[in-house]
This record gives sequence, C-alpha cells and structure tokens, in this order.
Amino acid sequence: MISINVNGNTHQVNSDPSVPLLYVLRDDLKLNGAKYGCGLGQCGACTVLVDNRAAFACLLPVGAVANRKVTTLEGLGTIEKPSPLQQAFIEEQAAQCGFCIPGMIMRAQALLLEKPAPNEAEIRNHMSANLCRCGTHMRILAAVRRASQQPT
Amino acid sequence: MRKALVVAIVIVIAAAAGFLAYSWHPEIPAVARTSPDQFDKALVARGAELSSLGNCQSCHTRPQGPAFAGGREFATPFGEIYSTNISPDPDTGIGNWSEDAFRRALHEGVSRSGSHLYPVFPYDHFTLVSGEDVKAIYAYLMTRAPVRAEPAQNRLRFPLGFRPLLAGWKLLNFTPGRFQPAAGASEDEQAGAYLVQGLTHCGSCHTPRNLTGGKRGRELSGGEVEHWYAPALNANASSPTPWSTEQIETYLRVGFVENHGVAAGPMRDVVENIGAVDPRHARAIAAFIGKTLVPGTSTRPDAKDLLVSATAPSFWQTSAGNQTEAKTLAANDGAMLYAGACAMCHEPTGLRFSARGIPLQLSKVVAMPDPRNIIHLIVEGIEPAPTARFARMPGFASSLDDRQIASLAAYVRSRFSRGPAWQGLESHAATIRGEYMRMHR
Repeated sequence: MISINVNGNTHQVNSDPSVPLLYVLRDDLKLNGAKYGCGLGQCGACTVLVDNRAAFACLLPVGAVANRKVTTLEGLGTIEKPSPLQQAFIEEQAAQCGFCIPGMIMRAQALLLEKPAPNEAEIRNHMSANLCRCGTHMRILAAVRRASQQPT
Repeated sequence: MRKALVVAIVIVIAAAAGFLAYSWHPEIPAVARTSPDQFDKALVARGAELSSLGNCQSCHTRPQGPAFAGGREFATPFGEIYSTNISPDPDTGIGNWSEDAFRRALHEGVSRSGSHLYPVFPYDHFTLVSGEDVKAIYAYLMTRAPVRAEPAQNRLRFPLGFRPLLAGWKLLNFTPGRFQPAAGASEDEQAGAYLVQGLTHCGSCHTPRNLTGGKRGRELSGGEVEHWYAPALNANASSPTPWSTEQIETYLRVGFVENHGVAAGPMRDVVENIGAVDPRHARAIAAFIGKTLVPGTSTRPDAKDLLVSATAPSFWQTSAGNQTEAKTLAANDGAMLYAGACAMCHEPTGLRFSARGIPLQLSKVVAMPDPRNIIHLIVEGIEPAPTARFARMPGFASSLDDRQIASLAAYVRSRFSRGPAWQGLESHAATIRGEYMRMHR
C-alpha cells in the first residue's frame, strides 16, 4: 500500500510504486481531470502540481510522491464554484475540444502561485511545455492573462 | 646583519623591477575604425566561418544580449570574469583596434593598451591561428554592428586583479607560436589538428587544468566547464562503443548520434556553430579526434554485443547489481524511478520507437567517470538542437527531489555501466538542481 495526498485528502492505494501517478489518479482515485496524451512528457495533457510545481503525471512514478502534496484540476474548484483561473478559462472560451485544458490550467496555476502577476514573456515561456492540437493557444494565453490580474 | 638585509631588499626590488619590465608591453596606438565597405566581401565571409569555428559569439555575448557585446559571466576558481565587448564600437568595443593590435591579442594575450588578458580568453590556443585567418576574423568583427556596452567589472581574488602578474602565468603555462603541421598526417587530419588545437580550442574545456589554471600535458584527457564534465577525447575516453569518424562528424554537425547520445550543456552551442559552417570543417575535426580517440574508446569487452542487446527487451528481465555506497541509493528508489520515469522513452518495451531515447547501455553520459552530466540531463532535460531529430527530454527538477535524482543516477550507473559507482551523487544533485531552481524562479 502506498499513501498519497491528493487535493488535501490522504489515500491508500494498492499499486506498484513504479506505476505513473497519472494511472493511479485516473484508474484508482477516479480523478479524470488529468489526461493521457502522449505518455512521453511532450504534450502536457497530464500536468498536475506536486508541491505546487507543475509536473508530468505520466512520467512520475507514484512511489516518488509518497510524502508530497499532489494537486489536480479537481482540487481547484467545482462546476458550481470554479476557481478564478478556471473562471478565466470559461470567460475567454479557451477550450475547443478541451482535452489539453486541464493540463493547461494546472500549468498556469503553478505559474500564478509562484508569480501572481507574470509578464507576457514569462507566461509564454512557462506555458510552452503544454500543447493544444486545436490551436486555441491565443485564447489560453488570454485566459492566463485575465487570471493574473486577480487573486487566484 | 643589516648589510645582508639591505642586499636582500635590493635583490627583491631588482627582481620585481625585472619582472615588471618583462611583463610590460607597449600600447598600440588607437586608429579610426575602417569603414565596413573597405573590407573584401570574400574575406568577411571566411571570417564569419572562422568566427563560428572559434565560438567567438557564444562567449562574447551575454544571455539574450546583443551579439559580440560581451558581458557573459565566467565563474572561475580565481573569481568572476566577464567577457569583453568585441563589437566594433570605438569606446567600449574594439572599434579603434588596428589589425596588429587584434593579432597581438590572439597570438600573445595582450590587449591594445598593453595590459595582459586573462586566459579565460583562450590565447594559449589562438596563438596557433595563422595570420591569414586572424585577418579574416578581424574583417568579420569590424563589419558587425557596433554596440556601446561596458561589461561588468571582473571580481578576482586578491591579488589577481593586478594584471602584470599574468606574465608569470604565461611563463608557466603559455607557449606563443603558430601551428606546425605534424609529418605523415592526412590533409583532413592536419586541418583538424589546426582547428582542435587552435581556433576551435577544444582543450579549453576538454583538458584538465592544474592549480594555476594552466594545462600543460594531458591534452584532451577530460576537463570541466560550468559544472559540466567535458569528457576525455583521447585514450581515456569512456564511450561504451567505439566512435567512427562519421559518427563524430555527425555529432559535431547535428548534435545527436543514436548510438552515443546528445550534445547538451555547453557543447550545444559548439554544435550549433559548427553545424552552421561548411561540413568539411566538421569532417576535419572528426578525422583528427578519431585518431586521438580510437585506441581507448571501447572500454567494454562486449562492446559489439551492446549494440545487439540494446535492441532486445532487457529492462523487465534484469535487476540492479553492483557494490558500494551507491548501492543503497540505487536499491532504495532507483529501479522504481527508472521504471516509472525513464523506461517509457528509453526501453524498447515502451515508446522508444517514437521518442528515440537512447538505450542507456550505449549512452556516453552513463559511461562517464563523472556523474555531473547525467544529473544535469535529469534535472534540466534536453532541448534538441534544431538539426537533431528526437523528442525533447523533459526535465525532472520539479518532480523529483535531490535524493531521488541521486538514487536514479546510482541505479542507472549500476545497471547500464561496468564503471565504478559514482561518488557524491546527492551533493552534486543538490548543487545542480539548486542552481537550476534559482535560475528558473
């Protein structure tokens, strides 16, 4: 059994410690926010926070996060009460197919936790690890800009 | 007694005066900058190639700064030194330097003003560069955009800020003189030797330095630069399988050879520069390095089998084996971390066909005697050069901690190399990851 802390709750999971965190989140904890995109750390669809920093959950063995704080999209807000960052994504209509959006939001969340008012270059540089195949990057950037002007 | 003291003082003063006289060089008068259109176009074009081969711009440009305006910091054991402005600005650059003054700087390590230059500027190599090539580089630099920029002040340990002392360094570590071709070498090898030992100054990083920062002897037997290990390029080389000259040439131009690995860290700039010029230069360097490298490249008796085993599904069948302090680290978390974080791209059972992560039993960094490079790669990942066709390796600086990175390195070493276990992994991981996190706040 491995004990992990996700979104403030402690879970005991019965998993081989080398299994990537992403599978445990989706298959065992039924937290389906983080997505499986490429499995190679190239696209960022699986991005979650580990101790408030962005990490690819597809390349992070669950045994490596045993004593650390994991935050997924589900930890930010709910449909009724979205977080300011999620609200900004809604207002900018940043999603097209939506597959990359949970990863985009978590990547942006890491930036805003570190730097609440990033400049354009910092936003673009930070977000460059995540890809969107629909091409909504301009709206995603607009959402991050919008969120960076208010408390997260 | 008093007489002896007086004699001693006189001797000391005479010696100091003699040293200062020896150390002294005249100023070369300032000249008006030659108009760029006065230089022959073909000469400037040749100078551009030579400047790339000499990596001039990489050192004389601060990160994101204007080209050739200097200001890049070099942390040396003797203090922090900032590269100079070599754009043709007359006040802060070299716009008022005559070609003679420029030649003296490269060949003797003396500035136009007559003061000695710090050997971070590799004039111990540049002294070999022919007068013709110096002329072309001068023409190229004088036709660049002048940038008015005063680099930061050097911060050297006392008393090294006193430049006449560098004459002593030169006495110990510097032999001026042009390149002398060796008898019996092919044309490519000659051209390669000229570049490697001279303009391209490979030994600046790949040759170990002594306590005075000099490097007499032990040429190309492995040095260091900016917390990276610059591997040996001679019989001490630790590559798992031999390098062919074709592979060396590809490595220099493209930065990626599937059976050896990637040019990362400070070598990435070098590859970008060499990749930008006529391929005959890379071929020449490869011909020369191939000769110095070949006797010792295959440190493993089973080098041939490696290429076969690298394609077989090995990971799920083997287990860690090896001895020492690193064993605990490796046994702790190493195998688990490898399986969950690395295997997907580096094992044939994963998605290696797509990511092109190299099999680690072939990797040059896993075979190196020094663990710093692999720690850099785990921490920072690898951004492929535009010419290299493989997937970007993600960095693990924020997903793994120092101890996990140390465990992973220990495991990879014990499983994929027969070299002795690496020492000091945790402290190297803390230094390299700490520095990376500071830079990426």
